[in-house]
Amino acid sequence: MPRKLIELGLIGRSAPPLSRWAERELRPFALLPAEGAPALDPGAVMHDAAGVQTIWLGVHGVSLHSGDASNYIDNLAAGTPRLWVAMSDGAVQMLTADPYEGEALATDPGRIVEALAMPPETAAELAEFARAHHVHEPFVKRRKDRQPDGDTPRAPRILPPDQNWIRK
Amino acid sequence: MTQATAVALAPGLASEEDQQRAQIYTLLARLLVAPPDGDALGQLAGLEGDDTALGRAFTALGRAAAKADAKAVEREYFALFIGVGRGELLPFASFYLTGFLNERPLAELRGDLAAIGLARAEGRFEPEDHIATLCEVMAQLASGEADAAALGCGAQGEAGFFARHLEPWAGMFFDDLDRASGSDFYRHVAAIGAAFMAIETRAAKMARD
Repeated sequence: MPRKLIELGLIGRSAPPLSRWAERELRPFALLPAEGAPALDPGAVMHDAAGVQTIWLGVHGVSLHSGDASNYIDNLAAGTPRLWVAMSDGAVQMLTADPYEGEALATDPGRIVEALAMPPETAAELAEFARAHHVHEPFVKRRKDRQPDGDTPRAPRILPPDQNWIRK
Repeated sequence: MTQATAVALAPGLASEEDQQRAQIYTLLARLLVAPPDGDALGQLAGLEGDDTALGRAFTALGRAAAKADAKAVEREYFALFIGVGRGELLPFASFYLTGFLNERPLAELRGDLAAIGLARAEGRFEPEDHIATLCEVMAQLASGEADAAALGCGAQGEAGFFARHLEPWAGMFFDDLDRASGSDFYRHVAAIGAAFMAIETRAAKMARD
């Protein structure tokens, strides 16, 4: 099954808590191509503006699967192509380009999932992959093979003697 | 026949032919709704028909009734229409037309019966598309007790009711009643039913054309 791994740099943002009982929350914020990634260790603070920290989260891979090609086409067709980044306990769990998998990840309230716009280069790579591996499956409405009519009812019109409990 | 049917649609003004049709329908309904008891068999024994197909069937039924034992006819009725699990035959329009009981033909019949102003009697538990119920309805329509003029939408009164609810399957049912292995006395009922349905089918077609 053809696969492809695309590497991307991930930037997160940590905002100060809104109340004294809350904690700082680190959320995925932006994606950039791995080629232009800064030489920083994951977790390094890139910028701090009045407590709002921009944090480098390192380079992560998103793997593309040929079986999901039709889902990638849906993603590309929806205006801004996005990647879903899932984080839990401050660590990046996974990246996916499949919108349905991304939304399924978002159903867990203990996980932070952000749909981030993907860089145009990544979108082009994704489109090429989807085009190469998409297999169109025509929709076939299933129907009963045969409509019953008076000549072919499901149950026998006359009960066969071997099914008849009444013996003469 | 066309004129006769038209006359029959006016309540209480049934012609002699329609009265006789109503009697035949009543007889079929009476024999198919429950087995005839000893008295009924005694009355049937007096039947004597003329030399037509239908008349010969009546003569045969009369002779069979004279020889029949009420207990044996009751057992035969039980094996044919009630049975254990199911009877040998299922005398319902829905079953013959769709292969299942209580399907769309029953719903359409209920709609038509409501339009005519008829309903299932208290204490009758079979669905309305039972052959005996349909014969009773036809008897009432023929005798003028019930009026089918209210049936619109393609059903033209009595002939339309027959064409919608009996013609598609009644012939098949009486053929099955003739072929069923448990059928003995009821084979003669099947002969009357088959002959009468053939006449009624032709008459209803003439009335519609």
